[in-house]
Amino acid sequence: MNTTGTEIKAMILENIAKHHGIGSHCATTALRTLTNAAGYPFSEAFCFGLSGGLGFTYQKYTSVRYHFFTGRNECLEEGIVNVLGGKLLKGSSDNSAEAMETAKSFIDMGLPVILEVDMMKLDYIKDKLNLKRPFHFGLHSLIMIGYDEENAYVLDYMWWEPIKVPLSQLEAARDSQDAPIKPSNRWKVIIFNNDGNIDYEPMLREAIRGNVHKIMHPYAFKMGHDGLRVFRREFERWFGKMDADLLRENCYMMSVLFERVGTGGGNFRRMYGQFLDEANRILDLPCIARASSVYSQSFRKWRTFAKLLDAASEAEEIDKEPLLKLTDELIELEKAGMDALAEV
Amino acid sequence: MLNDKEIRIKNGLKKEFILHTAIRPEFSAAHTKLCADGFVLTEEQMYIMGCCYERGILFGKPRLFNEEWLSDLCSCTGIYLEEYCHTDEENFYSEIKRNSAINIAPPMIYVRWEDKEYLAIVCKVHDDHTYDIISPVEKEVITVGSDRINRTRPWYMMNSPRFMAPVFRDKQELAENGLRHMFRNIRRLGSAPAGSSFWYDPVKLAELAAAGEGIPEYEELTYWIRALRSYMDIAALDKCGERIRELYDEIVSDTGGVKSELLAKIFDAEAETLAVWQDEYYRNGDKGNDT
Repeated sequence: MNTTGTEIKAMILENIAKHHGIGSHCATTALRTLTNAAGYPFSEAFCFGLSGGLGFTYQKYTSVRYHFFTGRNECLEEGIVNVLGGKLLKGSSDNSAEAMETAKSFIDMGLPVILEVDMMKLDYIKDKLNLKRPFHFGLHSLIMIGYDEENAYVLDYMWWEPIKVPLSQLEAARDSQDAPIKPSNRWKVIIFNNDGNIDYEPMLREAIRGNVHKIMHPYAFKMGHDGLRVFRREFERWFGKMDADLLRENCYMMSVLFERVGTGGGNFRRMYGQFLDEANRILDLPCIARASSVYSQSFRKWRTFAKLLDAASEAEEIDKEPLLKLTDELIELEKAGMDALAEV
Repeated sequence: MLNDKEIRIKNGLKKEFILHTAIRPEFSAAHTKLCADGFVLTEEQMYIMGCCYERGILFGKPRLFNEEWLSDLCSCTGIYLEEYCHTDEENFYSEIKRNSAINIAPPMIYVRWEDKEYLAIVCKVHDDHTYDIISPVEKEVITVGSDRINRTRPWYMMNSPRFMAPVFRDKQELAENGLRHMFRNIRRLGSAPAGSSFWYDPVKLAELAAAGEGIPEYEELTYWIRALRSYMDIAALDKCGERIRELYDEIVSDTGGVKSELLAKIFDAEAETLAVWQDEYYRNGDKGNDT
């Protein structure tokens, strides 16, 4: 009800909401929801693979004490539209009110909008994650599917149902200045126009080839396969350079990033392995079968790595040897996966 | 490229940029940046990889060119396109200044030239809020004031794979992917329900285009023929070009029939030729199977 006592009618895109379900990562769950709503029968892992999203980024931002990691690249929506077809519209703004009006206007036209937000600014996420330390992550994706006078309705990867969020809170999350990578009120809209014909083979080959190139030739030196090696080198130095508290904090944040907020290495390696498995039902190539097995192994090792880091974050003394050994193994596996996929 | 000259530019930039004078202004900034990275594309390749051909009705408005071509070009070629929008003058100035000083991927901003605006590479930002840019129109470095910059549109940075010594994928393969993307989108748009967010109907599109922002010039309207011809020349392209010329002359001379009907006939001729070309191409050339 509003202040005049009349009922507020929310505009909600039910045709999108009914295709949404829980997923393992925000951006890939959003892609699954949108592709499923467009009539494509894709799993979350398949969306991830089609988007050519596998990656690795290791970065230190001056505004925070910890290092940032992610196991994906930053072009998932662009990547999936490039191989699947469709129209991607996107934008950002330094005017949060205007950016909210833009999002609403797409909803009015029946189109869901992917929004990037600082997850720490949204109560429903903060309560669910219950992190020991604040973590302002400005690249969290959700889908806005409706609004009324006071609230927005969004789909998020850890929730089955649409979540009601005060518009002012969503606006603040989109315009957050606290995250090392700011969301900048970014939005994306994808119009798929599915005609029922999917040319799987060229699409899958293109997605895989493009992804291999991105990992082996990243645009920055702390990304892709190079980034993994840089991380290994610098990680070893942390033990002599950082004081115990800072080291523990970094270990904790790494374990969170690798597993709990779903952005790290393990989850994406698991999904990529699954994607390759699904892709190989169509392409039927031994090199893909090999790579799929490599990424399944890689996933398990990343998970072990995250557990060791979590334990290290509470240990009196951190034993660096098993951590470094695992890092070496992860690099080798990544190289083996890429070498196999280079044959596609 | 006819009458093309290479102009080498360094003004304030850490590495040398090569401006090709024959490149159309729309593509000039991206082309110049890619040349600096050792990835020299023809205009036709840029058109195909940017999936520039578009005939559709987007949110009720006519589209005769893919305005998202830069994003599509970057997706196709594996370039990471950073996109920002700073409407506030002070924010814009400080962000462009900071990023042009870093100088890995120079910022590209929208600058006005009379009734048109094009992306231009920023070489240097001055304390008085003026900007040295590589002009895609004058084909030299010029200084512009903030009044000529359209801050309501995004500004970009194109990050090539392995930025210090860029490594790109095979151009032919990328072009084939671009063509496949283009034909896929044409097919999908044709099957989209009437009145949806993005759909195509030649008669409706022609009505909207004729009633609205005007009909593009003949060269613009037939650019796709030139682009496709550079991959595979078939007689149908010539015939289509001639047919469009006749219809176009009727449109602009005001002596022919109803403008929108003539334009719809142009779209029909296009669709027919595109189908023939695609059929030939996939039969003879590309290993893909987009049918």
